[in-house]
Amino acid sequence: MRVRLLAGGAILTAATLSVAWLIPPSVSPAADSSENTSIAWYGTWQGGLAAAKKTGRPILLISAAPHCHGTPGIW
Amino acid sequence: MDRSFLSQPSVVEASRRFVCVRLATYESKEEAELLKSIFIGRSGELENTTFAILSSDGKRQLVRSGRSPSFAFGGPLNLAAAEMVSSMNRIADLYAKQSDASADDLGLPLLKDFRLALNVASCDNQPLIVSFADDRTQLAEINKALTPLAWSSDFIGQFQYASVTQLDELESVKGLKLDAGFAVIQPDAFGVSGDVIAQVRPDATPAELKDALNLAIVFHQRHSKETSKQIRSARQLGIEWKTQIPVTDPGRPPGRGRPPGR
Repeated sequence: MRVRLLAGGAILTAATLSVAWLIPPSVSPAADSSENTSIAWYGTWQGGLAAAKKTGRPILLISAAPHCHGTPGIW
Repeated sequence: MDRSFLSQPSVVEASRRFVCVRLATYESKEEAELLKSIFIGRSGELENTTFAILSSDGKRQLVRSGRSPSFAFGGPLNLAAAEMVSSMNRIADLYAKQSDASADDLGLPLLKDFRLALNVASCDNQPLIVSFADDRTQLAEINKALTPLAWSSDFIGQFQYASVTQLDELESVKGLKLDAGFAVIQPDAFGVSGDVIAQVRPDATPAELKDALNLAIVFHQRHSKETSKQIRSARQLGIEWKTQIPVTDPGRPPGRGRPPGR
């Protein structure tokens, strides 16, 4: 089991963990991870309904198209 | 999507007592039929967005359904959001005796497939966790290990999730070294390709999984997106999203939203 870390060309390895890291050079750390906190969405009706039936929780349902004028990456 | 309501911290907090389902509108014929049974606008066709609060069996609408939360909760945003939160809390209280859910009951909140998940993760500016193994039993074990973390206070709502048994589905991902496990992926601005931020073998300990997700959050980079620029760039690059069923929203421009394969 090895850890691999590639950051800006540096490679570190260790023999104790079963986690491998690969960080693209173009990616830099987010300023504040808490800004990503949001509603935890199920992406399918089948998965969401199964969870609602198991837990007895009510369902907040929305739909949205993950494209704008045919362009992906924006709601 | 009406993020003005759904990104309100009070709405996010209230959502934790619900099962929250966000369907991609034109990506499943079956789900489109469900959405049409809940709300159809003046066009008589399925529109881009739908909003509803439903009973836990999915059969009863508990507030006025519509194209967005503003159909049920009108007025200025701050007052409408407060009304939405109040209504959500009131509804959740009715279900309170049944709302102590375990992570096992909740399961991993997966998207339909990897292609869609990468796009949705890009739309949300979040990292995508994809679990992968060609053996379904092994994949189920990987997902079971991930599930408690997905619902933990440290990570809830911070990732999108997908799961694949066919590794060739991950061809658009750069840097994948494993043949089973999970990877955290940084989507590109259009959600059509991605880079591996972290990858984890199936035998990782829970502590190692947690470390992987923490570091993935640190190294994930949000894309700055402006709609007109994004559309212009996509056209220049020849990038176009093919929906699984035709787009029927009356607001769509002519010639767009063609079904796949055309």
